[in-house]
Amino acid sequence: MDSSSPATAQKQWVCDALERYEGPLLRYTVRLLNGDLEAARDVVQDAFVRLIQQERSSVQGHLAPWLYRVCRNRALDRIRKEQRMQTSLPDAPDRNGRLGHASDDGAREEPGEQAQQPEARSRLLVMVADLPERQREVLRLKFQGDLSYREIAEIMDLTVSHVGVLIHTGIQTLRQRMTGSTDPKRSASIPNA
Amino acid sequence: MNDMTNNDPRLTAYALGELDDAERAEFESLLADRQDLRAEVDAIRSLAGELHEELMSEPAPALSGKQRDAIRARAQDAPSLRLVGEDDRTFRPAAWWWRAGVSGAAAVLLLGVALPMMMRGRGRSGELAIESRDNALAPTEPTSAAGDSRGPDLSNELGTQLEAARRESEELHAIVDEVKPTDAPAETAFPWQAGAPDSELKKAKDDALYIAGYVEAREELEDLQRWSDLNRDQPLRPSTNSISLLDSTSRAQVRQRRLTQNLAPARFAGEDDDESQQLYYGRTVQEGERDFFDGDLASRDRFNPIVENTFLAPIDAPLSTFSIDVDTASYSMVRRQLREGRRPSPDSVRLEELINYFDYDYEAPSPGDDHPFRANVEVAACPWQPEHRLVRIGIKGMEIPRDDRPATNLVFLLDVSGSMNEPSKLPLVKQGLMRLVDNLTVDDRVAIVVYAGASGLVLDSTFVSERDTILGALDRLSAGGSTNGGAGIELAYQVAQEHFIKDGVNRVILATDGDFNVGVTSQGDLIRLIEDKAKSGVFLTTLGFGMGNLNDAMLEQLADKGNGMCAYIDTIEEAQKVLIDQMSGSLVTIAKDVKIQVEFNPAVVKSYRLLGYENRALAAQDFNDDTKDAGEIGAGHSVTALYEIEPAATLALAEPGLAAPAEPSRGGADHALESAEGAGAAAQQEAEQPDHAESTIDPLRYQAPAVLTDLATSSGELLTVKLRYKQPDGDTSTLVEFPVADQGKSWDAASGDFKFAAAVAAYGMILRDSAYKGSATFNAVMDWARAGEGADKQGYRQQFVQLVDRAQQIMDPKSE
Repeated sequence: MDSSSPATAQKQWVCDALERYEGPLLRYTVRLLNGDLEAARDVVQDAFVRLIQQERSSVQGHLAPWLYRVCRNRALDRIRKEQRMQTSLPDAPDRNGRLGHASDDGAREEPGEQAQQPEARSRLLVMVADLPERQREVLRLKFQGDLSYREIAEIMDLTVSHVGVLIHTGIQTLRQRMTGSTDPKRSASIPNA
Repeated sequence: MNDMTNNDPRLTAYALGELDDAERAEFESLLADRQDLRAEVDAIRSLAGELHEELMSEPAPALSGKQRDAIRARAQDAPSLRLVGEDDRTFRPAAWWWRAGVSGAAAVLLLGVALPMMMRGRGRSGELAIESRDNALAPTEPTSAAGDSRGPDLSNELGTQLEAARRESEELHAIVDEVKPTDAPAETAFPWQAGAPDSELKKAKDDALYIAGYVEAREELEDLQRWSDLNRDQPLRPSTNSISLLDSTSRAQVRQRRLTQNLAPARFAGEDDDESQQLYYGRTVQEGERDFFDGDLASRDRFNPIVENTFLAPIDAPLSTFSIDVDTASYSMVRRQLREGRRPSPDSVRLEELINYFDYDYEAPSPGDDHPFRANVEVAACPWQPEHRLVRIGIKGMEIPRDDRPATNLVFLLDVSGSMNEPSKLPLVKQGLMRLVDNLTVDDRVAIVVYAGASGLVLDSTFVSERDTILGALDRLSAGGSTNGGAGIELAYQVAQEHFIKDGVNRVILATDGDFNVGVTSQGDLIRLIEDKAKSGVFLTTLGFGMGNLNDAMLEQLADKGNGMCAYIDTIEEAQKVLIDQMSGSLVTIAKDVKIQVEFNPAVVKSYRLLGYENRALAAQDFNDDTKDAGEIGAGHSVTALYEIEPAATLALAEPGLAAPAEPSRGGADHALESAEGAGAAAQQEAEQPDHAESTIDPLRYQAPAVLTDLATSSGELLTVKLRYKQPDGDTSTLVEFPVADQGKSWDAASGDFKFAAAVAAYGMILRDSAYKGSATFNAVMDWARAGEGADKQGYRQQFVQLVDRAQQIMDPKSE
């Protein structure tokens, strides 16, 4: 522990957390919010504000899952609220000012995107976008957030074993599709082992 | 007896290092006699590695500067502040996750029951979930419980935001309250709950409610059943970094599999010079395999060929003359190609741009100095050719604190043609520029011009005080149409000139994927146009976006002619680096047409080679020719050039007391200066050499024709560096020169920055498969780079080491 002054140590700790997690958290949250960067920024900022108000000891040791979890819950709250409100506002004419890949569900893909850009994104990422929502989320947490099964379980409020199943299924599906197998069944099978 | 199938999730858990020791041991014994499952694990691992690569290369956005500042400003608040209604049940103890058997089974049962309910649509079930979610951050109790314990001293902005958050949660509660109890599945609907802990049930219910639709729910259900059939629900070991467990073979296989669908080990061959036939792992891609990667990109990127500088003898070629270059595009392009699993095209590897991508800690001039930059020279052993010497010339521009930046008049000139319609292009342009706007001050101005089928002024020059107007205009941009860069450039310069700020920064920032539709505008015309516009005092920065189809040569040329820099932006981090971290530098030019001429002493130097700067070479007589355009230095920029020197048979080491190479040499303080007037014929008045002859080439310091001067044999000097530059608004150049001696420094004694720059240069040579790479290998480069990593606040140097590793995986998978 830094003994200089609790306030300074606290500040340093928060700034370090910000430095380290700002990008990854936004990358994750922006997807939960269908590419709405501003909303994601609000959520992430809010998460850090909450972090400041936490007793440090209560998050020590699981800072990453704590932050992800806060972002996730806030993001889901927002989505629910939006759906509830059913704002009668017409959709913004164009959302491609959003960062990253328009969003995870192909439906939001820019029209013609696939057609005219061989280099848009790798086949693998396109396929990730086609996975069921929750598999996408665990894969992102695992491979983009570098989180362990247990941490993902904490974040998503699942059991570790359930996370294990989701990740396994996701990977097996991707494998099949990457190797071009057109097997419509989702149960994994070894392609010509 | 072993009837494990490949549907067993433990395969993945094992591959990712998520099993604990006991489980792992057991599992490995199961794998012992199952070749098929071992292959399965390998395949999972390799896909996982690929997934990690791909996902990590996605851009990560950032908060606005304001938001970051708000957080930092609050950061030292004691955690006594409490959000209204927030409780502290942030995390249950870890043991909570292990209710062996219950959770899986409970969830299955629950799902079975909950499915019909879920069919009623998401919005409603979502609301229910709010009630059931057991977590610290569920919406709070209504604020009528007004124990509002927010601290009294909330900063305004944050206070407002907290207020908003509170209102939002109130609204949410109002909504939840509207939901009639009958809408909610009564707890009694779950008769089996008796044995299950509350939180588990809530969690399972929440899970069920979260599921988007029937199909997915069914699939989940199958998953769960499969899982519970296995009837194993044991704790798994948290892993720190599972990817590190992927061995190199599997990493190599990742890419290989993409192409060949098999897991045979990759072969490696070194040569790849055929642009049309890309080599992957040393194999040319067969026709039928083309589908397995995303198009043949390399052939769509246009790079001018590079013919490497060779070793020259000072007796024949005493002078080496070139224009400085602060561009960094090559580094980003190399990185992008590697991330795509491709070997970088040799012509995309420009050594000086790799080296100059990094900041070096050279000493900047003090405010009172005569010159706007300072040169630092260091000489030490050359790591890839130990009997050679390596000379590093580092130039550092004056630093201008952000607050002292002159007012800025920017015109964004944005390509919105159809090809920009990709995540890595227009959206990234917008994000980057929004960040840039966030970093400008209210007195700065921004205008936006777009070009595609037609050009148009989207936003006339607007003060940044109207930030929202600017951001809104950026946000609304969309891509579509064909490209004609010409007219847009005209318009952008026109707008910039209309709002010209005298003594300020006036700059057009062109963002494109390089797709100039030259059907209308020939390249030559475009370049001439830019050359002409540069005279108006409006400078040009070109930013390349996107992948493939990047007319790199063109962008770079435009930036050169337009008195600006060219960068390639492939991620939001890179946008941050180029547009914000270096902003004061990129925007404020402190010296223009900076040329370097080095004269080598034939008594000490047998031959020398300039690393990189191939497309910046100048003829010796161009050095004094003030009509010859050269590179610009921005505030705080550093520029580095390396020379590899083959010493003459007897290396004369300097006497102590001569210019110590590691010491920054104060240009001007102890060196003669002069102004040359106009083209060529310069009136030389050098204090040190009053007997200067008048010519278009500065007289040689170390030789008369075929005769060495006294200085050559007696001084022990290795070389003399001469610099010429103009003030940003000047037309005549100033000369700075200083001799450099070699103190015989060993590699180990070299500075960290020296080592790092050498590592980067060696890396570039390996990527180019240069004839001059000597003993350099990827492993050696990593060692050298680590030795020179230094503080590396922003992690760029660390990223470089990863990039070396990446290149090794692709180009030399066996050597790891």
